[in-house]
Amino acid sequence: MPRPNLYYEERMPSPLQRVWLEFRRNAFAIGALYILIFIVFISLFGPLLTPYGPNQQFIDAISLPPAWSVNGDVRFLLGTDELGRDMITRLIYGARYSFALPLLVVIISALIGVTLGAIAAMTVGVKSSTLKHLLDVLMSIPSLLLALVIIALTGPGLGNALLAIGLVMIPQFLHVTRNAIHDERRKPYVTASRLNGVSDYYLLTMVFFPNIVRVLVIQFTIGLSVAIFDIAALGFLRLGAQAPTPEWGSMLAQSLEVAYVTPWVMALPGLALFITLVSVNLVGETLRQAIQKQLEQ
Amino acid sequence: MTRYLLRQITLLFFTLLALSLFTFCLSYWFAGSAVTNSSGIFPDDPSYATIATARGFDGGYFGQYIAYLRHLFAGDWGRSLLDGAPVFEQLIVRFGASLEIMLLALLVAWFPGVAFGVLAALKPGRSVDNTILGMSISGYSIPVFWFAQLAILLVAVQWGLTPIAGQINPLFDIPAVTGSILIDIALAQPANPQAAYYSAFMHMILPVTVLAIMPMMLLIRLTRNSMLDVLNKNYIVSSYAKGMSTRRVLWSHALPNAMQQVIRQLSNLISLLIANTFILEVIFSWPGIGNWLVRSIYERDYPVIQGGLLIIGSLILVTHVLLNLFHAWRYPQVRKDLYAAP
Amino acid sequence: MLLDIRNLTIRTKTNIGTVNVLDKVNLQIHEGEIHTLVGESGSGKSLIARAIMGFLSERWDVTADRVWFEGKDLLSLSAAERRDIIGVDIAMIFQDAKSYLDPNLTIGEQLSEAVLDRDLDGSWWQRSKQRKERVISLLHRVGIKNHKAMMQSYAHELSEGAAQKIMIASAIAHRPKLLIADEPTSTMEPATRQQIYRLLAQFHARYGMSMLMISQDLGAIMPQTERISMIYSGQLMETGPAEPLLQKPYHPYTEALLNTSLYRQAESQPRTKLPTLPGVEPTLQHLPIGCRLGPRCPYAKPECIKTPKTLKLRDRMYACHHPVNLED
Repeated sequence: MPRPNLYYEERMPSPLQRVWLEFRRNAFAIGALYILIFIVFISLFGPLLTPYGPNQQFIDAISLPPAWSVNGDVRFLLGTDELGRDMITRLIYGARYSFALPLLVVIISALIGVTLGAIAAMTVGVKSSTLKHLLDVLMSIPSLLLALVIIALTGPGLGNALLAIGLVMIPQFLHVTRNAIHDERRKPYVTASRLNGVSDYYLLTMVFFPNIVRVLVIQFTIGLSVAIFDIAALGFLRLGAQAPTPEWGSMLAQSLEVAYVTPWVMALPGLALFITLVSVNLVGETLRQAIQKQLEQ
Repeated sequence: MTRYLLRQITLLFFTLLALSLFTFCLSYWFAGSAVTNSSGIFPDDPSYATIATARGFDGGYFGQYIAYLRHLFAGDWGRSLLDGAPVFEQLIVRFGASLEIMLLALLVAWFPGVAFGVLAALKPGRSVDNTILGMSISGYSIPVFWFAQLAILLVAVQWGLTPIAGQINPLFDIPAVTGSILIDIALAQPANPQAAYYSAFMHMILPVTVLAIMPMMLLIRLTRNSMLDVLNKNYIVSSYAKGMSTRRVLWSHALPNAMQQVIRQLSNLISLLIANTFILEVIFSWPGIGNWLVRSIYERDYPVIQGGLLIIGSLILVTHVLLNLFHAWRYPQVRKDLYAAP
Repeated sequence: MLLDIRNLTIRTKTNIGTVNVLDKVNLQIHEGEIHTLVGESGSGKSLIARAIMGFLSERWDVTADRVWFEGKDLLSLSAAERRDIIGVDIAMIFQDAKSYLDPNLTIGEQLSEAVLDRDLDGSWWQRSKQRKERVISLLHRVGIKNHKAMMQSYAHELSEGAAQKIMIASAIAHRPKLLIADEPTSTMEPATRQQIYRLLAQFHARYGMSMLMISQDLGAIMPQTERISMIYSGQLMETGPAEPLLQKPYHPYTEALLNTSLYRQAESQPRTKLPTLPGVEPTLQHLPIGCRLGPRCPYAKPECIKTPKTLKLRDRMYACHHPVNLED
């Protein structure tokens, strides 16, 4: 007599897959993800898409409104600014400065910060509560202020602003990684691995890392959102990217004098920034919720 | 609690010391003479030699640092390189101006933020929750400098409802004593106080509202998430088991415990507030510390940079410790974790 | 009949559709009776308790022919009407009592919440004095002498047993007619467990209240238990007076559980097969049709694919096509 199958076997999706399944249920978050992919695309291939250069001036087309208004010109889909430069071209080029560069900076800081954090957590050195308190204090200082300090030392400029933001991000990743490993360190599964006699490197990469990667992903989206905002804010304060760089923040700053006459010159870079930030924050928050939900189950 | 208090105060002392050491070092890291950078006196000034001696520049670094601290406590924070104004007196006034809009914005943000957060948490996953959450995320993502410009363009220029920038109509001629315009009006006692208050209020309404938006949106999310967490706790179930009404359970168990988690994350909110205050002060020409600091970085006015960083840094450190102390005082079970830490 | 539950069904949505987590459960509790509900974890026993208390969120769809408490239907009460019963006539204590105490309020503050305003009179300061006296007397009744220190302490300062005593004190504040205890002692050491059982037995004797004990271990049920109900995977298997049910279980499931209990195992020799059911409890996504014990039951026959009717034999009830130990 054939025995009935007593053990119900079903392949459970891995933790990251489950986060993705949960994430996928939110249509807005998926939309935001597509927007981010689109922005990455135009930062990579932007110059191939635009007919003009970012600083190419058209004497015959100064302060033209967007194409759909009465005075608009089809050549300039989103109008031109007070120097006769095509807005859409500048916005597309701006994606490189306002999205791609912060993204790159955050990736580099994340790599450095996570490595340092892992080293700090694995080598128990300084009395940890004091170190923790100092890092806590450092975390409570706004990143923009720290970046201002670094720029005060190095002088204004896009390169310096990027360097400043990168330096500010490193301790944040360090802190998060160290705390995450500290929280996991005493859990039974880690003890079990230690009792198996694995090496520190194995412990870090194969035991800790899969369990803290979620925290790091969340921190990455937070860091990205902060970096985009800070770079734009520094550009706006004329401490970061300088004119005529088509960085969205400095474009906003330049538009201030003409904002009353040609409002689209001010509205468009801000809108681009807003859409980017919403997408990053929405993806981050949805990821956080998906992970939270998974932890509760 | 006493032990914790002492520990926090010791830590505050050492972090403040580290901060002063940092600003002291800045004099050397900046370009130019360290004496000029810390005192604001140029080398061609006749008093340069006396200042250099008073600040210990004939001795070693340690003596210089002690002299620096002594000058700090005496209120001699150097002079601005641009206009020669004493930094300390200027800072006090500007600090007051900044603190005023920060506190007002926090106040404006607090109640709607908590209320909307609780509202969203009560119906998780429903349309109320989704609407509030969507509003919170998009509101949090508006670049504040852009939003301020739009507000000025629309409210101040298009509709002409409020003034564009500044603290008060300069015709009132209110001397800046504390920097906080509302207190200054009370101190100056102008001929027409109502009109002065009205003018100050109209100048204030736009920056404070714009400044309040982002913290409010963050607060909504913080409150919602911690409230959701607390509502799943067992002690909420046992309160219902005692036969308490939903309103009483929310008011006496859920909200206090949710607020604990919010307060633990409040330093995020405060750092957001400080960063946004800096930017908005520049836009609204608010005579605050951020406006001054940004300008001084641009103009390389080193004594002002040092003074501004010192005072903002101290504000952050003190707030951090005060929050920790409040948290431990209000929420007793936190103290157990602090003492029993392995 | 104090509590009369007929055909209680609780549904919830899973990724494969709606499933009956609880499938037509009948449960009757008489006045002054200690009734123990035994089932493995995940069998739905806590769900029954929570359905009675009205704690289940909208995720759970609760239907029943009747859930009568003293003739009132608990499922159709409004929130305000329910509050007149819950916490007054029906009280509940829980497993892991510490987590059921608010960490930010003192024990005194939390206990005084259990004292209702309508039991007090006079001006507000007289009332607060009465309230305090009530709390002190509650603490004395559960055997806590040092009431002053206890009232000022917080949940994290208590031991497991003390926290459970506080829960009991707040539960008996209004001399409930029914006390539901959801595995109150499962995480405790044996000595503390006996303490709590004695305390509960004492209140049972003094107030004549009925109790619904929930337990997952037949070997550690309250000694004073009068009736036992067995639940497996959301279906009620067997109900009957404690003594005969443990001596001569009718249902194969009860028999299997008894076999795995400690005292029977001691008799079995090492290297012999453990006399237990093969397989594991089904997950919500894989509930068998018919009798849910079917695939694991050693006596299963093709007709077990149909849900067995609940049969009555004298004062015992069982739901099985092929009961064991039925000589007559």
